[in-house]
Amino acid sequence: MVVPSGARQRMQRMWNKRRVLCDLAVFSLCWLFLAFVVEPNLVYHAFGTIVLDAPAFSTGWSFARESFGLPGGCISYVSGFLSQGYAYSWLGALIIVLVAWCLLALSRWHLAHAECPGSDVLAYVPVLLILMVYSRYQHPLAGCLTVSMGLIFSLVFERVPLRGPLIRSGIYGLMAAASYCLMGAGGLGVFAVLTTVYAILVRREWMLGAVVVPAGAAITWVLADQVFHLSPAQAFLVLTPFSPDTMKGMKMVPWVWIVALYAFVPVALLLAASWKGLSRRIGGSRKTRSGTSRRAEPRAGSRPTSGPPSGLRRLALPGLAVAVAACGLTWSHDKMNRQFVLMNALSRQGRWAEVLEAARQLPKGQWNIFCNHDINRALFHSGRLGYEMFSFPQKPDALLLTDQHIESSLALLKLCDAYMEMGNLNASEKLASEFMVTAGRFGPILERLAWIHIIKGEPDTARVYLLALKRDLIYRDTAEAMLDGLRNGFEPDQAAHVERLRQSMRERGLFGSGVEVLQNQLLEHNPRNKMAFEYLMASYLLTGQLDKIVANVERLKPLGYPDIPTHYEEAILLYYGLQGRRVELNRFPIRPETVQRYRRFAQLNNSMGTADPQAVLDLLTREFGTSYFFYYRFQCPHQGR
Amino acid sequence: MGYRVATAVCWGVLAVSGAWLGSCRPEPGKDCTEIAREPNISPDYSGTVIPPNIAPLNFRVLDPGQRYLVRIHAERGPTLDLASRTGLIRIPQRPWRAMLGANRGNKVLFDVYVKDGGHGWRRFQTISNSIAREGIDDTLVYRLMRPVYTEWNQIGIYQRCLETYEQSLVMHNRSFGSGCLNCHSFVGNDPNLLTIGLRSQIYGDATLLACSGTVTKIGAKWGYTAWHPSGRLAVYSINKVRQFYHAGGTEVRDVVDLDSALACYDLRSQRVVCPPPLSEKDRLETYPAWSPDGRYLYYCSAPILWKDRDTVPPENYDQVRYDLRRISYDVDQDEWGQAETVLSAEQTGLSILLPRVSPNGRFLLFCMCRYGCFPVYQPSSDLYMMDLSTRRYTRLAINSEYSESWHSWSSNGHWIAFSSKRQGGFFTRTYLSYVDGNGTAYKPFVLPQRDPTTYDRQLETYSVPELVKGPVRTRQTLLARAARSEASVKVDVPITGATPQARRPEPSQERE
Repeated sequence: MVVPSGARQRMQRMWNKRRVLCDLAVFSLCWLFLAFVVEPNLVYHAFGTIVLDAPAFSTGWSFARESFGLPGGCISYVSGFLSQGYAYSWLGALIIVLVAWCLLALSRWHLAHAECPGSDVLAYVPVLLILMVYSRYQHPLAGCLTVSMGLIFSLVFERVPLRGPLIRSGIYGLMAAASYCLMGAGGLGVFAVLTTVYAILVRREWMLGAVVVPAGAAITWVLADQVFHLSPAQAFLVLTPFSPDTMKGMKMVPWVWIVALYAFVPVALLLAASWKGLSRRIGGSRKTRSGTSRRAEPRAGSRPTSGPPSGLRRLALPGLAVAVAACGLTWSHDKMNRQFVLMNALSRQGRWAEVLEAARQLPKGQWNIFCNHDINRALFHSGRLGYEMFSFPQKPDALLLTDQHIESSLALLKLCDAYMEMGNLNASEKLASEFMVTAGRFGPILERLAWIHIIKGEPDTARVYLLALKRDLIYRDTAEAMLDGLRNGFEPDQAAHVERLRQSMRERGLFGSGVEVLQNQLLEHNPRNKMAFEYLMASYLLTGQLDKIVANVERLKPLGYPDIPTHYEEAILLYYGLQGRRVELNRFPIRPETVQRYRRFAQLNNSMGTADPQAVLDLLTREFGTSYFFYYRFQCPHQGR
Repeated sequence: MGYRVATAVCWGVLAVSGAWLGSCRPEPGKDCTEIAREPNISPDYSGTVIPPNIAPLNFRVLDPGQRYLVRIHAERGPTLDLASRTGLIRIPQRPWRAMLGANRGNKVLFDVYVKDGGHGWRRFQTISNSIAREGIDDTLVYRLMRPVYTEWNQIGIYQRCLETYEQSLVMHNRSFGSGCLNCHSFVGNDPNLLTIGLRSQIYGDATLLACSGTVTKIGAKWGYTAWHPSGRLAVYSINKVRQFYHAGGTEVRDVVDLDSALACYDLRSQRVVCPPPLSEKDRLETYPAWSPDGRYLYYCSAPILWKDRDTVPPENYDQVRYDLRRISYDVDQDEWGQAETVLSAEQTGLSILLPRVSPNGRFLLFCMCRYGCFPVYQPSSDLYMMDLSTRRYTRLAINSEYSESWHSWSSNGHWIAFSSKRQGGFFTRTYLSYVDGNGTAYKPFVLPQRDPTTYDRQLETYSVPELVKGPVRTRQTLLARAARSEASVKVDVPITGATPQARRPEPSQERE
């Protein structure tokens, strides 16, 4: 059926309008998913740690000059700028949605330009990939921008009206050089591959098709050698999914999705163009046999001239796509990682009650050393460390992240905070500075360094960090408030906090001591250092050193404890029980209920030899699973046998 | 007719604009309140001696106000009037250069006026700086990096034209996989002969020797290096250096040489020898420096106070104090003489480090600190000047309560560049100071920047500033390629206790 051109245009406009509405609806759902399920705010608080990428951004010309002086600098700069919006979930979700929409539009254009069937729906694949990666709490923004720019460059090149092969090769060369500078090897790769596919399979520009990739490689090599002074290995990896910066810390599944994001449009185009070429050859041989004329080819982005799809088809295909997407997102959403990322974000913000709430929602058997560390800090800040520590899984290494195998930027940051709180300022400074070396001028770290130097009585140094922090879009108000505090005095609670830490600050000694030596040194300097005391006792509990618990109980009263915390009571009872001695209740006023529980525990424990051990163990777990008795008897790695 | 009207309108607009702009320039007039002190400015560019070829000393007036006017004048030449609403004063380069050039030996004066809302204009006491007759070498080469503890990332060696603000890269560590760059040194103040030390897990430890535009990679890592004035040999240190950290106090970091020695590299034969006086088994030798006539090598030497050369920190690490020694050398015969102690730690009670002899051979600039081998990490480190003819030394008045170190001389012997942590004790900045014929150093000033607020928020430190007579013209591309290449000169370094073992590079001379 041949449709008149006026009607065709009306249909086209209607189709475009429907498509826009459809896109709007889809992206609204995406925004809701991102803002309320994924919460980009969690990704923001994971920057530089769980998400190893720490997209730094600073206002001012010097940062811009620094960024643009490297290949892919434009992408890094824009990605850094946009990433700051993730501090607010709604804004981060909006940014992701807009980037995804841009990718959708570009993908759609290219797929339609190559007359790829189902281009309208297929163009959503990159969007789905982006959402899936984010639902795994990774940060592919730089990759998305790189792919987008590559697609834009390809679109512009395809629309250049000049057709002579030499001219087009020259224009390609210039654009390739610009693309490498702006978007690194990743963006140039997308641009180059698309140009090759168009040249060979669509336009039959053989000369151009032959030189595109070699020319792109040569341009990369020359720019890296002469302008940016990078090694070839580094040069060809900038902003690709294979660069160490992209791959470090990323799990295999989301990484594969990122590779798919880069490869999708080029591969789809390649397949579509190849298929079309094959069809044309088959159709052409049929035409030769039958003598019928060829149908006019539709323009890019237009609907087939046979008219709009029927009502059912109109709904079925997008509906199917939405259903598939919803399933994909549900499957890909990493709920376990979300809990870890959430706890990390909450602990970074000092929201301790919520940390404990989130910890209680962790599935049994799922244990993460960093969560354990955060839980202990939350318990300390809630005044419950000595009472509820063993309500959560515990390992000795988690207390101060002493496991040699977990050296990471996440460990650096968490320890920096813990050390600062207990007065180990120099150690905190070292860790924060090391973090800054790898993560760059990252707002949270600059803030920490400023506080460290304020507490150490070095306001001039603190000021340098704060003036640098003022150039951070999210932290500028914090910086201004702290500078005001330096000028005019801090608020009473802040001033009291600074003073308290100052009193706990060590004045001598060297690094390299173990947890207990460190806490004892802190206590020696300031016997009222409550955090040092509680962490020391926690360390003794975790390593089963009952005698040291007993020896340190006398510190409780000067530190203002109204009673002996439950776990210390339990340890004291175990200590005396194992020695077959009675507890001196006038020295250790242990509560009767704890004594009763101890007796019950001892009775059950002793019955393991005679009754069904598994049943007894189950009973012990139910009744005493959150007690120190249980930990000491069944989980303590050093003693307690 | 219409054309004439339009032209008239345009001229009228221009006239009104000009009058308006003219009216914006503040005129303090006669009703100024005189303030009996100098204005607070940052950086502190008052009461100094400046070179006649230095870039403009842009500064910020810290006294609060709504409008500012600075009048710069000297005995000869026109006055410069600079107005500002923010207190930031940016001096135009050409008129400044002309003024300084015409007034060598005289003073340049800054009259600062500040107007605030209710009180009209205030005029502060004139800031006076002296313009030396002698210029300074026009290029400063330094390393720029964030304060380093265990890890490092971005390190670059930069050169800065002191007559302008132009800074360019000599070499960056990203060109060889983010390895460590350190220990850049020159023959005299000649930018055409340069060595740079590298450590890289990918490309190995090496030294790049850039000579008149060509670059050679020597397969040995040179520590602190001193070129013989003839350019025929270089003496460098081999250090078994380790870092450790203090749990209390301002400076967290500390460094100890568990062992060290000096080695001598002959450029022609490409051989390395360790003369016995420079590599004693029971002593630590480091920081070589040649006298300008090449007849003496000055260096620092300390007894090793520990038996265990692996434990960090070793026992008595805070008792190590270096003596200043020298040894004669005949370059034609390639013969070393006897070592003698120029100044002992026992005499001073301090550790003597970083000797640098002035180009005329008369003075020796060095620093002393409480203990140890790394003065930049010692707040007690101060600069001292010794008159080599009398061997008398004085503590320079230009010191601060924080660390001063890493000093170098200009080719005419009248300027020194040094690192100082006086802006708060943590970030190292480069300061320049005039030295007169008697060895007296005048009030230093910080390296000027186009934006006078640069240092307020700069997180990088300036390390090892070296004054050279012109820009380093060795291309970055050649340096980068050489860093990634196989060493073209393989050297057999005699094994000493200080010889580094094959292991992951320890952060050592990449320190500030």
